[in-house]
Amino acid sequence: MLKSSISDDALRLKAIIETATDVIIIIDENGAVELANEAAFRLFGYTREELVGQNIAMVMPEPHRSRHDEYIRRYCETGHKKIIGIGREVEGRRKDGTVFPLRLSVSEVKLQDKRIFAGIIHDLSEQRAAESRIIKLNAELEQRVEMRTEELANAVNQLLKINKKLEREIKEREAAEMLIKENETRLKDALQREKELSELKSRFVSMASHEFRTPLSTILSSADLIEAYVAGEQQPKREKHVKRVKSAVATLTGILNDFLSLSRLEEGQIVTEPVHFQLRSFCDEITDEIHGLLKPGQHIVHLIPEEPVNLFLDKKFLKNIFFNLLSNAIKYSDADLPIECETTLKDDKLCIRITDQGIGIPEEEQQHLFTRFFRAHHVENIQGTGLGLNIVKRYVELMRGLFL
Amino acid sequence: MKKILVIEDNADVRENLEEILELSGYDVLLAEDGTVGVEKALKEMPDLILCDVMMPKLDGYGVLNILSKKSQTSNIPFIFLPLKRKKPISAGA
Repeated sequence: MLKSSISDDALRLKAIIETATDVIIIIDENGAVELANEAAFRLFGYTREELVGQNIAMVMPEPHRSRHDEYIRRYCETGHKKIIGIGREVEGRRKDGTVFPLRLSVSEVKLQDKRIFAGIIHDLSEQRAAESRIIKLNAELEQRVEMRTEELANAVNQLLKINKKLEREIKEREAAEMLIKENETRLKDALQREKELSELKSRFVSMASHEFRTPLSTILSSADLIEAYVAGEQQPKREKHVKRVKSAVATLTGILNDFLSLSRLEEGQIVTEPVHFQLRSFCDEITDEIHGLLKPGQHIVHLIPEEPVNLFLDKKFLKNIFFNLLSNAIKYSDADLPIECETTLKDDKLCIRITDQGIGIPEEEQQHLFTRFFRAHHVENIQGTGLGLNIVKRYVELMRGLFL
Repeated sequence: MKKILVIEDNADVRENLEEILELSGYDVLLAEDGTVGVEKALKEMPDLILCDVMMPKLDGYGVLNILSKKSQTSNIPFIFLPLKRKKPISAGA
């Protein structure tokens, strides 16, 4: 009973060993093959007779082939396990000499009288082949990726180049647009100036035709009368008309002078020539010279500091300013009214204030005060060029003065 | 003698006109502005009025307007002294 059961066990074991797909080899302490299964013969190409009883080193390539006996001997002496119970990937050698990868696990079995080693070997050839195929595929894939990457990089580079070119073109276009805009502004400015000039011209023509006509008609009629007075005793009458002609010419000259000084001022040809002089004697001169313009009963009241004031200014400019302002005050206020001319010194600055009791300038029209040829609407029928205050402004600015 | 009224604000022009017209044998009346001109026209009933257009206070158009509305002066011939033409000038008062 016992025997038969042992024999059953051996049969079972044998069947397992023989049908296993992995190689199973059992060797003794000297390395001689005690048992090998069918798979072992298939894998290594040896027949049972060629393998069983031979040294196992025959299925190993060098250097293990020569050293295997030594490995077993050293293990038996030291007990130091290099492969037993660990398992390792190593190489095997077929009968035809070809070498292939395999996985080897070894277990040690101690019998009563000796010990044996059982090795299980799994062929790794196909796995390796698959692995190397994967590696190859991987490499191919990587190469393709690299190629694609390079193509992409080229495309990107090209895009960048195009982008740069576009950016350059945009910049060029922007610059051109700026230029066009600048030109436009310049043209607009020029047009504006042209408009202003044209308006100025028409204002000048209307002013000139009015301002010149009166003195010219005086001159003509006086000339007619001089011609008519032929008798010797009519000399005083002739003289009166000669005087009238001269006065009309003076008026015309005055208007012309205003134009000339305005155009010189506009061209920037006039520079200040300051000289030293006394305020009091200057005011006396002005009063003397303007006397002839006063209407009956009009008089100029000078208010100046008690102490002597020494000035260092362009005397001609200052005189022109006083003359313009005072003649305005005379012209636009009635007879018998005083005109106040106050001159003070404040922080080294000369302050001129002229006050009349005349018609004044309407508040809504004061913004045009210094516009050339501008006349307030309520003085349109009074003679005047509309240049005086513009000239005053320019003289004051030339002397770096201000209007308060 | 025919009477002519001269309404003109510029003294030189006014006096020269006076002299020329007197030398030509007219009786001349003078007015230095429109208001005085209207007064003298109504008072003196001149045969002809010479009137400046641009004058302070009452201008030539104002003078013509007033005188043409009054029956006693509306038929007096009225001539503008055209020193400055701003509006078309209508003839006859």
